[in-house]
Amino acid sequence: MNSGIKNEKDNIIKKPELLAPAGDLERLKWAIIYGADAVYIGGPAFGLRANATNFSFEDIKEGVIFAHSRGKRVHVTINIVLHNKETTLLIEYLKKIASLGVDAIIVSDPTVIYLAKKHTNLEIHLSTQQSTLNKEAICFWEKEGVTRVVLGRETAKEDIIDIINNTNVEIESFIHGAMCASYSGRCVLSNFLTARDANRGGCSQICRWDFKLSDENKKSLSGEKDFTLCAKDLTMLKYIPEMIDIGISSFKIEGRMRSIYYIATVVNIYRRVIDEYCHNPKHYQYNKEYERILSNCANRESITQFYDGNYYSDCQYYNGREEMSNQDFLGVILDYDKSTSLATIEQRNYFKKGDIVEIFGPEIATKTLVIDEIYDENDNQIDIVRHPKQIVKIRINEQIYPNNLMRIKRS
Amino acid sequence: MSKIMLMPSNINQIEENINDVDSVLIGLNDLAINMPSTFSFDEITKISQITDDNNKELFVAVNKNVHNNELSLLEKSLLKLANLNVAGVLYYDIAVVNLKDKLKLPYDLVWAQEHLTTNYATINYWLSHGVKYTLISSEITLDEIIDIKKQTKSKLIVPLFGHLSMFTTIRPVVNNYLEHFKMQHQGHHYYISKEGKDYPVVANKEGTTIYSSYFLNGLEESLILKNEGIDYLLISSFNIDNLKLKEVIKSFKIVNKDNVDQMAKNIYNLFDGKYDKGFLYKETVYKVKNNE
Repeated sequence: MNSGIKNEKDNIIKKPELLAPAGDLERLKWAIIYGADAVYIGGPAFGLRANATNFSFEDIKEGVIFAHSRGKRVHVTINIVLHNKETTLLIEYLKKIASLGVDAIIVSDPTVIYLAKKHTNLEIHLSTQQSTLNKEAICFWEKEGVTRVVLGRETAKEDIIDIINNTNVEIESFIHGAMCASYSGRCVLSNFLTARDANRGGCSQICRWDFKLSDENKKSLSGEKDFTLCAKDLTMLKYIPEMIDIGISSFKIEGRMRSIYYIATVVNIYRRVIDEYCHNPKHYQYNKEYERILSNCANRESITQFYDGNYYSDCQYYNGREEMSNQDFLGVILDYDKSTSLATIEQRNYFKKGDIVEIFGPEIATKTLVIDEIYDENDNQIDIVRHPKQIVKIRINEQIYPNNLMRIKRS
Repeated sequence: MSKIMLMPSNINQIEENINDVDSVLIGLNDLAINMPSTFSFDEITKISQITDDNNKELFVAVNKNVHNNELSLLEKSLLKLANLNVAGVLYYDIAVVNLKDKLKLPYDLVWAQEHLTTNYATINYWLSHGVKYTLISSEITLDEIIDIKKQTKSKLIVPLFGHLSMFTTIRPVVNNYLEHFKMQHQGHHYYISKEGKDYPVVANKEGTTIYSSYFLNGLEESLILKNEGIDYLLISSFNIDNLKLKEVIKSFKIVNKDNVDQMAKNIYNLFDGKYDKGFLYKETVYKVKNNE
């Protein structure tokens, strides 16, 4: 049974892990710098994001060294559905992954569990691809040597509590990011409509397509917009304290193909919420500002989905998705000179003199300021920064740090 | 010799075809999904009488994703099935495997994780846990199926005729859409359409399932699979009327190398050629950048 989250004085003695996605080495570093306790990554094979950049063995090794030097962990996904030809390649792959110092593997096919146990000492986490929703299934996997189960996204709060109270494995739950419209593992729309294998990393997101709907006699049932299966994204921001109290071991953020800005922003916000609640649970107050920041950062609508059992009407799109191109991310702080109060910034999106911006990072409270002086690399004063990766300096009268990020302030 | 397994839509279909099939696969109410129909315990008792009287096998699907609050229903149902002459119970949720052991259930299990049953190593993994049958994924090729057969002693059930399920969710996505645009619910059966193809949709209290547009017709391939010693050839009745279903079952029963062309022509005429070979000859890709 999971326990020991709080002591007799109601102080939290065990924080949950904040687990972030990392599509490549750069993202891994940003996730860790911005507060992730662990990252999950795809190796050169057998992962469910076949078309992401993914990690070479050398990248994994470097990522593990980077993470471990900061007391953080690296989990590698080996969660595709295996076909015959791949089963013979697995043993060497698992041995190689283990030799790199990886902390855990995330698997869905039991053959991987069997071989990992036989040939390595890797910690084994069961992927959400198995759609595990109940304690009986978890009892089975526990006997097989699984130490953590990533619950199916459809699990409701009461079910999670019962599972935690009646099993001995760690429980990992998604807290933020995109949702499959289907049970994970039970959608092969991509296979049928585009010949891309959804359960082997090739998902072409057919659930986001529009379709015409008709009744059983093929009479049209179209509303103002076409039918879509598309689910809104997940956000559990409001429920983090409750999820900590329940005893969930790991909070997982979805999105290995997301940008560094997205990862830094989302990790930073959840890091703050976890720390603020754990520091003083009795006086914790929900910060609406965090909700605004997450909402601005995402390009899709987010909602609670299944946790509170209310997944009927608000959880899907009806009127077409409004995916805004996100240009909030203005730049990366490369350096700050305290003596001149000038910050060196690498541009990521257009900004100009007079813009109201925010600077955020793991070491600082978010700072809001108006840009009133901009200098180019030759120290000439300029009004507009329009070139991608342009290096400029702006005056900031408060201490900031390398790798802090600057975004536009939106209401 | 491969056995013919029928997934019927109603008891009449079982009675009408019992002489031409070797086994019947039905779903249990409240615990089975993606079946042409599901049946109550009373109905299953009646069906088991029919299969017993005709010396045929009965398989029961308990293949939904089981939520934690449904465990007590699952446990009671598995125990009740132990009182019937059931050859095997199909599972998706691993809770069923744990409960079989815990409750010492007498029947065999069928690993039926729909799209995940794709390789012999994992079939052998389940076999080592006492699971004696596998319902093979419909998204692998004929060669892969044959290779699996060579590498396992598990009894294999291969889907060879009918619409194939492509998408399963607990979300009531169709009803949500109709409610949102203030339209009346129209029952449980719908279609979604794209690029000239219509995909059957079933929306009920278990959620929503979308099926393939064309149905799979593996009549010719049944000869190859029989030769390879595949144990069961599965025929689904979903969206197929009784007369056509009867013809299909008979064709699978009597087809041989001498009459296969004529049999194939009959099926073609019966369905106006609106079927395909699914993934029997089509390998899916997943690493797009390397494959394009």
